[in-house]
Amino acid sequence: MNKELVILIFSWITCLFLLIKFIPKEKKRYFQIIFLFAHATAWIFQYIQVNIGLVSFPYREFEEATKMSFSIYYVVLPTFAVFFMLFYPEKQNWMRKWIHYLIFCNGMHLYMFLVERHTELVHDINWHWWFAVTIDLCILYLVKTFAFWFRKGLSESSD
Amino acid sequence: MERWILIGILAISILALFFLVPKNKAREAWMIFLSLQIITWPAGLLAVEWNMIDYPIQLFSFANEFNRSSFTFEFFLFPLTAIMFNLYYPKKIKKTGTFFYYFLFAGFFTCLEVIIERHTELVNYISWHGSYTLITVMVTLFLNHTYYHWFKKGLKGTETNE
Repeated sequence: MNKELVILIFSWITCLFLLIKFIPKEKKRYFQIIFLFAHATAWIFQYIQVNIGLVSFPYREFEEATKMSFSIYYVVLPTFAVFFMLFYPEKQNWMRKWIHYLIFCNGMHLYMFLVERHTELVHDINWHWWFAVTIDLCILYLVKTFAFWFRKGLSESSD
Repeated sequence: MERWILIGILAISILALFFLVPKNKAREAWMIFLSLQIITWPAGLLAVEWNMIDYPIQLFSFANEFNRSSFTFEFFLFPLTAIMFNLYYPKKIKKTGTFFYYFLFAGFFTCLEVIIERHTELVNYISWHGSYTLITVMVTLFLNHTYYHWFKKGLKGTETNE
């Protein structure tokens, strides 16, 4: 087994474990919709990134069908988004919120950076740390806006 | 010609979303739309990966260079069909009626795809068959509806109706 496959399997197991373990039972609909929204958003962003030649994915799950990565955008990044919302410091001031954004943006990129460095899963063409972090920030902001709007219609998480 | 069909489908879909989804059902529509993609994305990729189906013409001419599953069908038309399917799902109906309702939606979707495959270059069946579409669409709608039914219990304003 090559290391790309090992990392993918490890990522799947870790993400599923974390999601099952840490999502509060009484709010599972709220976090599921966040996961779904983050998945759709991450996928569109990936579509654009690949299209304009910012990144490429030499090792892929669907070799023939697509030039895009599957697992990272299907499960890893949505998991980051779920935990971003789970620990979102809603009642704190703007400084604390910014720090929260920065921790998660950099966390997401750190994962991608390590994967890029050590495997063939991701290959950066025109990609810089600040650029990646800015895009992650936009995605997380979209996710947060959507989640807060959606929450108003949920009876389970009206705290 | 082919692209105009796609643009037509997109335009009708957007109009349908606008007129057939009531404002207070916006969250339900979002939820159906997003959860369906979880199924159609890997399924659509697998069908292309295993050389069962091909989409020679896409909405954007460059699309096939990096993603060969269909953007319009799997990520727009199908989720939209699912939204309509679930929002207008008949509540008081017997089992045979439910089956007929599934059959009606999947049949409509399949007919459309078969006509498009025969007459245009938008879809090309390799080892795929119209009946596969019928079955997979019915199964997908069933899975999606089951999830929707469960999810709805946590939405405001719907839990009292059950």
